[in-house]
Amino acid sequence: MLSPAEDTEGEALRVLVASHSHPRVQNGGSEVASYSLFDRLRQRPGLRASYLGCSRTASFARAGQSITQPFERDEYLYTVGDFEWFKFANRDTAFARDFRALLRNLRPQVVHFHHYINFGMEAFAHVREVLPDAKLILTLHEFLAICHQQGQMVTRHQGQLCRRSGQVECSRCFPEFQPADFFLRETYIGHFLRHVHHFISPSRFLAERYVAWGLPAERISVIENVPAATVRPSPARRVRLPGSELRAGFFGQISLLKGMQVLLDAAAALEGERRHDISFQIHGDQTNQPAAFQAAFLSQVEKAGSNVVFHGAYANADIDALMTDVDVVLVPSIWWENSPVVIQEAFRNGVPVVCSNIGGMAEKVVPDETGLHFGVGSPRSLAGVLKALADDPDRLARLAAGAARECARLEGSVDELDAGLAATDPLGAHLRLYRDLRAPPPPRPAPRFALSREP
Amino acid sequence: MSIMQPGVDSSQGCIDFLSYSSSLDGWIGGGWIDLSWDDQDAPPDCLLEFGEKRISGQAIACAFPRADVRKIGTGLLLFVPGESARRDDFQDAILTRDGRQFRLTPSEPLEDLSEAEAIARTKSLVTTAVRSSRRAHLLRLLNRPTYAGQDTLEALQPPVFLELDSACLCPPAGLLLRGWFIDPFKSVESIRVRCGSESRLLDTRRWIPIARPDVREGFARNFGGLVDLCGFLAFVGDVYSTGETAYFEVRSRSGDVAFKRIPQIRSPGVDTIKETLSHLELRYDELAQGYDHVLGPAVKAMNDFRMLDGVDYKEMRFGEGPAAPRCSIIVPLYGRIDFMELQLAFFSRTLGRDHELIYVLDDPTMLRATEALATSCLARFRLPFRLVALSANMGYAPANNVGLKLARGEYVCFLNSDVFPKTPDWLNHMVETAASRPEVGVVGALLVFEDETIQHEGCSYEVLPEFAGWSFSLHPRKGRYPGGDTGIQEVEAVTGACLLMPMALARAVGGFDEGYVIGDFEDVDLCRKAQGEGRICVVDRRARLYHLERQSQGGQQSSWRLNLTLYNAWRFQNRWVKAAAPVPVPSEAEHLDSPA
Repeated sequence: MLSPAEDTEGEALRVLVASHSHPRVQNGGSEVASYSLFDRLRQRPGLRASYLGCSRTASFARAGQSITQPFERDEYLYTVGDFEWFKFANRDTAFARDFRALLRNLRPQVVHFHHYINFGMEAFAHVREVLPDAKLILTLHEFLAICHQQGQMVTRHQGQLCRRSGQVECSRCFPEFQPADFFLRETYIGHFLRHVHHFISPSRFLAERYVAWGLPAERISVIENVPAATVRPSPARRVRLPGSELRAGFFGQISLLKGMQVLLDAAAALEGERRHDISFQIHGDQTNQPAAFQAAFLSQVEKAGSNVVFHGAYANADIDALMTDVDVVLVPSIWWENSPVVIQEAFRNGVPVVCSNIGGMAEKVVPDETGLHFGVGSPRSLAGVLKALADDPDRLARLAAGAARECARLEGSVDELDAGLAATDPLGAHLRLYRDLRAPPPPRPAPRFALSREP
Repeated sequence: MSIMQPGVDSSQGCIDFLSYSSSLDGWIGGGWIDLSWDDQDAPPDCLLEFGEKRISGQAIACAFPRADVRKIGTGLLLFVPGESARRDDFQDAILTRDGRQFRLTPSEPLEDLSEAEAIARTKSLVTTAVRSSRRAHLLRLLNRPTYAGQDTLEALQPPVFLELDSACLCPPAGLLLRGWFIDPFKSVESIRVRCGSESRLLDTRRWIPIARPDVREGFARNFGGLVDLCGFLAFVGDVYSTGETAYFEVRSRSGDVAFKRIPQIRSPGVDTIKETLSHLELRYDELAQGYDHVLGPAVKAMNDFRMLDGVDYKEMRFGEGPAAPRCSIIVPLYGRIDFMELQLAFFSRTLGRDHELIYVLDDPTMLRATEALATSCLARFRLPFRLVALSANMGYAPANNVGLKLARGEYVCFLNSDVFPKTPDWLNHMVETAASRPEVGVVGALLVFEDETIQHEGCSYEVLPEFAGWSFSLHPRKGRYPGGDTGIQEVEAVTGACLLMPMALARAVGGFDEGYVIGDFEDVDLCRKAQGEGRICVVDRRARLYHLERQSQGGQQSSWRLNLTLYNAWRFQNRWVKAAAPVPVPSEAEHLDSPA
């Protein structure tokens, strides 16, 4: 049977997945997402996948070479050099040389970037120049092109949610740059994004922001991140017994924007109300945060009631085991989020999610089906949602069932795709996009999941 | 050869010695005159003839007994106030009194005495003369104190205070003096600056008064009637010679003379130009006065000196450009070298490969960073260009002129580093306009800000009363949205931010005038020169670019920067506005057809 992505002449389709990092360098959500895609692709017949990651430390460098192979045969790693963060310009001359050589060597027909940091915007021009026939795809992960504040669209000093970037507004956040500098930043980024044939956004929310910013709506598809194939939920799933406590788990980076203060304030409020039937299990790492935040966090945990348990950092391989021990996963972020991997991980373990009611996280959690929303930044709202859930065990069970169903949908059945049926799972959607982009131009099918520009 | 006046006999005496005294500001001489000379108190007029140069003034003439000529005349001593001249050119002295003239010719040979020897000789001879008021006058003059290396101003009574904060050489021989002066009893008759054999009057009516409340407050306890404007900035031309001591000579109305040394004299440079132009806010008429008499000549001298040795540079090639470029784009870089990166990125897929790009780094402090960035830009954008690095920060005109010298195109486009293409075909349109219409000498573009409003669509001149009624080039409709017009229109001038010319014309008019300092008015001056060659300036609205304006020059304008603009405006007025009838203003409807 012919794979939809396979080259029509029977030759294996060559795909290069390029990510701003590598899971063995840094285990963040987008690294995992890009690597999962690569890993699933390389297991497909009729496909030859390669992976190019990045490292900002010289641990894997070889003198005179910027791209090496420290891990596996199909995996490459670029050691980042002189990088300009304002407009994502890669001034490292070795990258231009070595990346172009790698492209000539691998001759991928599809080059699929996750992120543009570390590679630099110019990487897209290199691809188009060296491989004029290749299709260039970019998966967007944050609002970095739109927002200089680490791509979070949250104001720099007040931490307020930002709804639209602008040269004057951005200059207010960063007075060290003039509005004209933001104009140039946007023009530079836009100049190179024009080379990209198609964009993938893991959430509709993120796609809408990029369309409002200026990306053509017809060139963006919303496709969820491909989940990792290898991890399986632990069978020893916790079942909440009547009268026992509701365990709300937090997993991930402990930071202000991840909503840790909201969580702690909600815990304090419930403690004040003597609701001992609700506990907060905090798993994560705060050590890469500003010292003041770390001190404040540890002090608050110390003073918190018995309903707060801080477990510390965890290894990603342990996430499934840890999640079997909670009833709901909390995502209380006070920034928009895109498509938090922790939501997929919760669903994979049949755990419903309680999240802030904004952005990508709210989009991924369907209220009363796979979880519940609460008012962003409101400890009182979060406490209210958890109290209601603790008082209604049947509802919790329904939500857990919904989460498990969503997991099945995400993992999907690529066999359906092979049979030419509509695939709704992320990997199937990726393969379909590769096929559609590589189809001869006249009758090129309209990209699925395309957004329409809002009036 | 002197022309004999009617009634003057061939010769009525001789001059044996004649020397110029810079300390007395006049000529001292001695000789004899025939017996018909009537030695009396009324001073004669005297004309000294030195070839073409004539010096005349009311002389002090004093007869003295002289045995060797007693049968035909009497000894005569002379002092004639006036400027210096070449003694070797001396032809004769003509004394006129009561309608009678006496011609004295030089002895063969004329004695060559130094100033001091001439004063000593005259002093010794005058003592033998009969006592008279002219004898006393001449003696008083000869005994006038001279500067002996000691400051004596502090001892002057009534007291006078003259202090310098700085003195800067304005080559070759001018001095720019900044200080303060207090004359509480209005006792000063004159202040001269002296150096070697030169002296110049320091005209207090022509200096720029500067408020010094600190000085006034310091003296207010002892003296009344003082004003804040006791500081000054003054220019004294043609007085200083290196190696000689420069000093003030202050004369009081009572005839006293005092001296004060001018201490450290600084060599000039951009820094002294900046200092000169700092903390001044001249407006209306004081502007013309200040620039005509002080700032104009001083800054011009300092800038000319700066340019004296020409420009040293090195050239680096990044990639191989076209052998015979259609157009050479010249971009000076200063401060924001990242603009080069942005331009090259935006040109990389849009600029035709038949054009050449020349970046001129006018900022030696950024050399290494620019070289590294240039290497990276070539690797990333693969667009060939040349980088020319100047050894010193020279300013807009010299930087562009170095680029012009190295350019090989048929056309040249001067482009600011903060100008970025909006449409990919901008340069082709501009070249086409210049190529298809021989009457066109300068082509500009439609430049817009980042918010898409107009930055430039041609310049026009406007007289600004607050700035001495000088003409300034302004950008009409700046900040407004452009119309849909994509035609070509004649304009009075075009901004240098994006200015295209035929290479031959640019070279024929000598490129940008380097007398403007750092970066103002050079562009409209260049347009005037092209118009002087019978060519016109147009804006081609099909060529559209972004211009972020002043980005590379830093933020808010400091006072020196504004005053430098005013200096450049002063120069522009002197070169074009005062010298010639205004260029006729083209009517707004006067469009040229678009070239086919």
